Amino acid sequence: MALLELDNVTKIFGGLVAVDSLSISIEKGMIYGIIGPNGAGKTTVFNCITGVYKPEKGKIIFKGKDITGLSPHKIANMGITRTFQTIRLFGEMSVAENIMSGRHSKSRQKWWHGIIHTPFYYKDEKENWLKVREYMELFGLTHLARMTAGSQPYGIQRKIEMARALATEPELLILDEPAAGLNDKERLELLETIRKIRGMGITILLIEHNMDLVMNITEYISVLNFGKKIAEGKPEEIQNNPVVIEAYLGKEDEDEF
Amino acid sequence: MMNTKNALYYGIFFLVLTVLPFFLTSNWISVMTTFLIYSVVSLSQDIVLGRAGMFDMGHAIFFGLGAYSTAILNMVYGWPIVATIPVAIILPIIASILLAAPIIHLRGDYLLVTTIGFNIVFTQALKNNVFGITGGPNGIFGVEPLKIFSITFASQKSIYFLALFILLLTLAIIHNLETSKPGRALHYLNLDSLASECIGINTRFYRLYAFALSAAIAGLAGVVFTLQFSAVSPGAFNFIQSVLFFTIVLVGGPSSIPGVLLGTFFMFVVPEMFRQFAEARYLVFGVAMILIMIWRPKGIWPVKFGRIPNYITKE
Repeated sequence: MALLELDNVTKIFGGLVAVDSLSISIEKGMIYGIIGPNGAGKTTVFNCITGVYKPEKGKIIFKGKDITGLSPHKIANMGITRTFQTIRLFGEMSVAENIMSGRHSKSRQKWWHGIIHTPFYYKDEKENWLKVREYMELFGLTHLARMTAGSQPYGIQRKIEMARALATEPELLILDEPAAGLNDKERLELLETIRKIRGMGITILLIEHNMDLVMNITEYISVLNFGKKIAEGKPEEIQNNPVVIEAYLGKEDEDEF
Repeated sequence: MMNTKNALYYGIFFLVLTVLPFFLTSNWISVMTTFLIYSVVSLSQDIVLGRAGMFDMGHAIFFGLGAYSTAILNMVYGWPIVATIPVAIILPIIASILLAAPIIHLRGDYLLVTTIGFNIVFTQALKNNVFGITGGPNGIFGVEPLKIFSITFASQKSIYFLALFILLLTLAIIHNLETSKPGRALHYLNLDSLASECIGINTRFYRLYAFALSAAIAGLAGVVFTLQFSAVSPGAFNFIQSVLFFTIVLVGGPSSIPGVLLGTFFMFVVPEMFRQFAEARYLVFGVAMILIMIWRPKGIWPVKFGRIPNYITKE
């Protein structure tokens, strides 16, 4: 059984069909890529999976359970976490506090621990902060722990956001253009990080414009154009697929003029 | 996780407040008692406004519900004051959840207008003597003092210390809040609601939680307020009072405990100090408020994040 399955998912905004009967199937442990030109509906797909949008038609099945239309926090608690195309950190808070937010659903503190601190509170709090320490070490952020997240350079902010997502211990990690705005060195680091994450047994679904990165790291790709899937397959198959080349570059005969 | 420097500051703060009434005139003890009560209400308003970032401009409702619960149960139904305290806490909690649940999803400005509306309805109900128990525009007089075992809190100083105790209790609760999962969740959902949802925070639940907790604390403050004057009247809980608590938080520094305490001092005690200037003091006061918002938009004493334990940065 696939870890995540989209079955004829359709999302309509006003009259515009942003995602058109899309079906994809993601196996556990793989790195899956979704590519396509601007406005192809890639981010909308992510928003449907994570519960930000409710699709008009179709079903989203995660680990055999129908999660279509559930609220984002419920989906997150089931094991799907995402990053955002435009980084969304808690800018005024420290780097460590940002990563701690990812521990929210794993922490077993109840509402009354916000009023009275019981021995259980101290145990739980320490466990989770130590996890934060682990993730800061993994991303080399330890020396920035007390710094304000919002004042960090772009590349670091991307790392913080990924550390926060990982801190939720997801089964499926969704990365929305993780390489956007990164320089070559940072991009190489990102490749390594993504492989490391996969090594932890986490399935990865990513959208990316940077073709080198996509072809380098993904094992399976779906190509979207105008909300429809126009091709799917292994990276080398996609690279040579005329339909895909056409969608990206326009028809070859047009180029000759 | 409070560091020694902060513990020292709070120690000095409470030491000063403890010896203060022995050097003050009766009039000033009264002002300082109200200062302590208003500090508690402002700190509770800060949970909703500062921490969770919801524009609640009807906080006097919960303060008033606590105050009136005690007064009515004591004067109309003859309950001893001690027995009224749980009601004065639980009733505001229920009211806050009922009021907030249908409007919690509203954006800042819409929520603001709705809460103002609730506040106006609340004071109108009190003035019109609903169910014949609120005493109408004059309120309720002659509430008994608090008796616990054989101790009676009748003297001015004893009520001052009662208010000081409630402030200490509130500060302990807020310290526990800001170093816990629910307290952090409030900051997260305030700073980015969508990102919070996507990492598994039930933002609706924590928004209601903020309302309920702050209403409980405001209700408790209301009990002490009733005891201070042995009376309640609608004017103390009208919309203008809510504006005062709202402004205290913004001027002092949202989410900042010392900020809110300073804000209360600046907005309530300082005008009392310049009483001899009559109405002119409000001009200076208004200008000062404007200048603070221009020069220090995050308040007199802005919040500092980074409340993280030392052991996570050490090898």
